[in-house]
Amino acid sequence: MLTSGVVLAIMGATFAAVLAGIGSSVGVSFAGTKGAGVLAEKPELFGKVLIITALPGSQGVYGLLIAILTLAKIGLFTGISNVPTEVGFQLLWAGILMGFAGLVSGWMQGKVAAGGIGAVARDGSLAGKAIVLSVIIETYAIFGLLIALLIVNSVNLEAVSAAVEMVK
Amino acid sequence: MAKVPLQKVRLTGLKTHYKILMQELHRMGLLEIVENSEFIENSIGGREEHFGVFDLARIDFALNFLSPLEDKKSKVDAILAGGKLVMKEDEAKKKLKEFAPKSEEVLSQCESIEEKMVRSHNELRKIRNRREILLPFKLLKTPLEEDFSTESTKTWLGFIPETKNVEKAFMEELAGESNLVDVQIFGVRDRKLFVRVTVVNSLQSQTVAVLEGFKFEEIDFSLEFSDFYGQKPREILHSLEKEEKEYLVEIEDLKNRAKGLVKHINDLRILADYNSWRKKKNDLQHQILKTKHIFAFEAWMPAKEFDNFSKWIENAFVNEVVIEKTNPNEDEEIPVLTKNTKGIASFEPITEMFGTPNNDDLDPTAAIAPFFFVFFGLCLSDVGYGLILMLASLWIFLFGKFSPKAKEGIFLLVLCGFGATLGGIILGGYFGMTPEQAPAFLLSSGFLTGTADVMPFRYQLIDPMAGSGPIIFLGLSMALGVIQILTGIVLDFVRKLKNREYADAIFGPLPWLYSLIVLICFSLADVIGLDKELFGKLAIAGAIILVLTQGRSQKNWLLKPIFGVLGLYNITGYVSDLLSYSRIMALGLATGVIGFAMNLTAGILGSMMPIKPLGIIVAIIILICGHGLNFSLSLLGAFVHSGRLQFIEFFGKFFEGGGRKFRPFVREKKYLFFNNS
Repeated sequence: MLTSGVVLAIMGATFAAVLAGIGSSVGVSFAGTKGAGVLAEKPELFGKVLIITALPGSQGVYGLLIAILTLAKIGLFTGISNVPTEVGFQLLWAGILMGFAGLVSGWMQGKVAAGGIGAVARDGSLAGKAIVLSVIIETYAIFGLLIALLIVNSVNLEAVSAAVEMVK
Repeated sequence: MAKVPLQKVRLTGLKTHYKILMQELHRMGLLEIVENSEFIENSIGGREEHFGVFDLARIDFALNFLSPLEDKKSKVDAILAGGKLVMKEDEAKKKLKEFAPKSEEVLSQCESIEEKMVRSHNELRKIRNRREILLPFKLLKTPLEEDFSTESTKTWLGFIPETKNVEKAFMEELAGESNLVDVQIFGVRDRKLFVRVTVVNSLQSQTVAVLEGFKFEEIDFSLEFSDFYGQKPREILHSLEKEEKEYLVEIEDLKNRAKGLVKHINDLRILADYNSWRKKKNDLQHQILKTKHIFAFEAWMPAKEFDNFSKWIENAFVNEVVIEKTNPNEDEEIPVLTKNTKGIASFEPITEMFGTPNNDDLDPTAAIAPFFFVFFGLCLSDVGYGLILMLASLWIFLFGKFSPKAKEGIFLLVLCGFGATLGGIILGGYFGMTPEQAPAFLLSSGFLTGTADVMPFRYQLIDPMAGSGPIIFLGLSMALGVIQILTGIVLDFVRKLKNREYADAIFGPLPWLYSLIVLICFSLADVIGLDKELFGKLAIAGAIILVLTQGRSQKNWLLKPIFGVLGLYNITGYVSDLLSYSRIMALGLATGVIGFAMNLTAGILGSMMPIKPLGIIVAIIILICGHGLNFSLSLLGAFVHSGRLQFIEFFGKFFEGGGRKFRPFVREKKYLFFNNS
């Protein structure tokens, strides 16, 4: 049953996956472009450069995580449950929250990662420090993920439908 | 907390023993020889600047040149050997002796072959460029030069950039001028339209204007092909082709000659390592005092090795080399050597990632070891992934040929894998499977019989995806954070005591320790049944103590209480540190949910396939790729975020880093690995 609640929840999932995905793509592209330049000079740094380049990729994964949790919550894979509009909005907000947290932090993390790759190009032993600097930004994506997780997880559709039955 | 005490020593001896002493010291790798400016000023000659650098560069060049031609060892052997050449030391010495007389020959051959190869490749490129230019004019029936202008006509050969319909426009515009214009089109290559334009002299200036409009570029063959004077393009192309073939044969020949040299590659590797040791010994000359008869130098060594070492010196050189203890110079930075028990030592690379402890720091490795283990385990939290990581690294650990130091680092991965397995059992993570998908032997008996309120998996303690599970997991993460932050404050106290900063130790970390514990008790009073009112009063007392103590570094008595109040603001720092630990829960959930998503995708796409075997294959491919991706991303995330919690939240309390690492004078092996057992 495709109610407006379901549609809102799907919108939320889309926001989470797409916005966080954009953030990660942009971030990884910043780091990757810089990394490719460095590899032309020092191919032996590939392992380190790869890890630093992959760091801004996690936001996209967090977005995907919230998207899939949302879809699983409304039963898209198992048979759609009755989702009240209010609950739909709840899931929509979780998705928007995750999406923006991932978009901006992935984007900016990419810049720090690119800078870190520059540092590693000069001195390979700086890789650990470059990773730590880049990871500091990811904190805010993780906070976004945490809140979104708590919001999505608080939805209990069985309880909701039971309550609706009771009122009837 | 294991920083090894180091002793500065001075060795003095007769110059006759210098060489043999250095050789032995190099083999032992016990001493870090340090510079002493006084010594250098008084030293006399005998220094060969840049000795061996040139030699090493030549050997490295030859190795780089030959290694792509080498037959690759099997992947498994390469992993286990860590890319090194495994042999006994005697064997290496023997081979070196055999190879040394031939080495010059091999090196110069490598150089000459490479030089010739570069030259041939250049020639080849030139020939191919010329063919490229000439190819469009293949159909020209006359030699290139003959086509050029006559007394009454002017001819251009060249090209215009190709755009849509340019050919038609070009023809129209030129033929529109007059029928005294002849245009021949040769065709298009590389988005260029090759043409020949011939006009009578009277029309020359008009035609030039039209050609410029089409961005015509002339090709001057008289210069480019002067060596083929009088030949038709077809003939020139033919001879160019022949030349190209000759060069290709030559390159192939050179390659074969280079392949003949590959049999020396391992000898070159031995030579490279031995030469770099020689160079290192020679570089030391800058730090050693030499007079006519004696030498002297200063070094750092582990203090507890001193007795054995001085006994050895005494026995070996019978008073002709003497060792004595000295004190470090006033502003000298003492190098730092750390030693930890097995297991804990595996976490040293994590400390190193941040920095070496400085002279005032404690070695934090033992403190981070349990936290890193637990955090990593909860972040990765999957029995499947944990077992893969543990078994794969255990295999390399057991059968790989690495230095003990490198093996410790590999053992870190074994421990991490074990942690992740435990984390997976606690949180019920098995390749992201739901209880319904999981095989029965993984499930708890209570769940199978349908008892309410039991964990679905065996030995599972928290179900992070159901009911209040996420909140419990979050609470656990925060609780670990509280423990780590408090540990950090205690270590700060210990560090300050150790450095004899008694006032700072008592008034700095202790009030905070008290206040934080009281505050935690106060906020949890209702949950764990404490007297809330009492702890409220204690918390206020804590705040007062903080106001009184935190401004102590201010000289001005009026500023002291103001800075004391400002010091209270640090509580926000502790709160944000604590929140940071929530990442453990977020990452732990992420592993399971993404694994679940991969299983789901494989299931859906698999069932969509028209025939069942195809569906199974598709599902398996998705499972392998998906879990591979999730495994590597989660592994990376678990590692860097567990590390970050140590570096920022934990080290921030008590650890500065930035010390100078003890780097003993030792034989560093780039290519070799000795198994002398």
